Amino acid sequence: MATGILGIALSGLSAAQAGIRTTQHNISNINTEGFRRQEVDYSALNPQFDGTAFFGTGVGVSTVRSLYSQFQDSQVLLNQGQLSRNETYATQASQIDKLVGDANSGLTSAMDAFFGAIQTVANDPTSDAARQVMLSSGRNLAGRINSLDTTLKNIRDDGNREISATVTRINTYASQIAAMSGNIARAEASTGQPANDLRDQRDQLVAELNKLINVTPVQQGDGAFSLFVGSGQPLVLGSSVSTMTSVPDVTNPQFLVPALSLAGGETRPLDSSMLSGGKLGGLLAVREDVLLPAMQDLDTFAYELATQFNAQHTAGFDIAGVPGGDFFTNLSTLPSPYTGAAGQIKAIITDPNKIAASATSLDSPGDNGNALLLADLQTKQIPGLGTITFSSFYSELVARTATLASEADIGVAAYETLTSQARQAQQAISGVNLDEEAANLIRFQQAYQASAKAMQVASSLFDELIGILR
Amino acid sequence: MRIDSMTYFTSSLAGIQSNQTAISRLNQQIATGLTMLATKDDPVTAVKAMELSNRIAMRTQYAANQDKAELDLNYETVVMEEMSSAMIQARTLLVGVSPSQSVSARNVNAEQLKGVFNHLLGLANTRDPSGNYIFAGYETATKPFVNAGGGVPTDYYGTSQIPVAIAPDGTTAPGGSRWSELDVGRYIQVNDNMDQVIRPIGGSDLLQELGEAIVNLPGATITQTDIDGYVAVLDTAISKLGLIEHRVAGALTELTDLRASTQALLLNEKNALSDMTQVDQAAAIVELQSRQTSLEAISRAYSLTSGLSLFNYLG
Repeated sequence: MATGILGIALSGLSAAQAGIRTTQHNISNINTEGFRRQEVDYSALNPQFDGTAFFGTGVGVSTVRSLYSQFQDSQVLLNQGQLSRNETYATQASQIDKLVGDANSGLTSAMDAFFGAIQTVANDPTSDAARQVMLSSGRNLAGRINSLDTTLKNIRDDGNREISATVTRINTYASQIAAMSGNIARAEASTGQPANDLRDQRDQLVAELNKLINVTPVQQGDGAFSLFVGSGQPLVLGSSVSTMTSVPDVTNPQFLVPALSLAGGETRPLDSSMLSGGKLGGLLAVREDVLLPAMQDLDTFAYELATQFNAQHTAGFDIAGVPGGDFFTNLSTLPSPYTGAAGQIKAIITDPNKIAASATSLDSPGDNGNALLLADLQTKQIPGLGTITFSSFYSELVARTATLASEADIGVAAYETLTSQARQAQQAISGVNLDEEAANLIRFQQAYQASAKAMQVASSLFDELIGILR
Repeated sequence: MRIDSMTYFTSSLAGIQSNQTAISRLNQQIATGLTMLATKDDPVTAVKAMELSNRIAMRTQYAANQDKAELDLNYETVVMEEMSSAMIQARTLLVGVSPSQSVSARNVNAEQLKGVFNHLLGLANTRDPSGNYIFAGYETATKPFVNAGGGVPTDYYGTSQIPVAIAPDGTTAPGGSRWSELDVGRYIQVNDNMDQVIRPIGGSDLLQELGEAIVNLPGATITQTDIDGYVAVLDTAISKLGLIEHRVAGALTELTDLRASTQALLLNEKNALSDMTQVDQAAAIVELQSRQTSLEAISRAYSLTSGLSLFNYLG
């Protein structure tokens, strides 16, 4: 490096150029997701002692650093993970809420119609029309239960597919992050300088991954980067990556749960208590809180309806005085918790004369004694449902689902605000401000012009000297 | 405080989005007329509304039961009035006969009595518009009373084998009685077994006695005691029928009271349900207006701030 007045001006020129370059880099990346604005750190070059005093030798670039706050970054990660969880939760809970609470797909109206039809049979026990209506409304009620059950199972299967797909994406992100971390470590080791843009890219990947599964990033002293999931299981440990898979749940094999493949071929399933955030956390939580209870309640409802109704129906006699058969599919052999009841229930009587409206075995078509007792089931408190009526039991299912869906909506709104606040606070430090960059551009331009002027002065000094010699 | 350009430019966006969401929701509410588009919008009210509509459905069914019960009881009343007047007519005829009258005069009375007998038998075998025998108890498909006349005992094919019928609420009535549920747990008897009038247990068979009277009246051996015996049987039947008529009249009064309260409650519940679920159109439109105003304000703010940049002044 040339020393002296030309050299000093030259160092000023390149320093200003470095500033302009960084400013341009900031401006160009204004829309880059995850980019952190960069700043040039300048320092004065080593002074020279010429026998009388220390003279400065100009300016040098010590480093280009990106501006960020670890705390704000982790706040964004934390809130973003909860937002994804709540969004996933709210979407599915709303779907189920709409399904069970809607007048068209829910059970309330079908139930009212069925019991109303029984009353009509009681009013006119010999009427073939009334009996036909009771049969068809019984079929309709069973059909509604079946289709609710099918839709809930579809939601379950969709959830399983989403878990599998999410796990695949997590694996992709994890291996990208591990590879990127290796690159960063190598680049930084060989230059001794921070690889700002590579780090931004890696952290952006972490942010994307965190939307799927909540991760804890740990930057180790030796430069190795690790990610932990669940209750401290390593997903990325330096350059090694644990693969995630989805495996059937132990207690409910029809549900898939994410699992971590550990060294030695062992897989460790992750449950909702371990996954508190991210899309996976939401999928597991909504299944546990909303979907599974709804399916179980529907099974219990179908089981109790069939069992109670059949018990009363078989206690009566049909129009010919023959003891009544089962009205609904006989589910009494199903073990608790009656899994599959909602899918199996059907109204199996097809002959309206087989409806056991009569309480007496003699030839008594006009007897409505048993029809009255069947209609009574509408207002009877059923022990198997927790000593409440059928309609109260269903209302409780709707209420529980609606409350959880509404809580999730509130959660989404809250975490949207928190995430946006955290992001604003983070961007207040790391985000690019175009006006600021414009001012910097002017600043460096002027510095460049001043250095150029200094060079011109130095040059004219030489010219003066050469002129004397001429 | 430092602010980055992205936040600066997009800060209005959240406001625009939330206002647009609210406007779309208001539009849906106004279009459907419903405040709650899903139960999660207001779980407590939604479930209350659900329970209320369940109650309304039940009460509507009870109202239909009441209509049917009233129809049955009114029908029975009309037939019983007719029976009662036929019995009184028979009594008048019998009272008007005396052994001292000529055979031909007694013959006329016997012929008239025969007409009344057939009418009475026909009434006892009355069928409702659906073809059910109304006085046959549960055996609505079988003709209940068969009497060949001439002192032959009446055959009854209705329900009388079961001495007592029990309603779900524990009320009891003679065998073959049917009830209708008019309100939760409230039952009313909607038919009567005519066997208790025509062939009372331990009493005389009305149709048999009348049949005997028709045969014996013109005969030479008829005595005033015989005639008084026939009248006594008729009197017992008339008073038995009167008891049933009173029961039916009482049931109809109860029914009328119940119907009034059912209708009043139904109206109340329907109003309450509509208050819970129906949207207040005026309030919705006012809110829509205010949302629109704030959306316009935010849009204007956005267009003003987005044009500002230091770069515009450089160069």
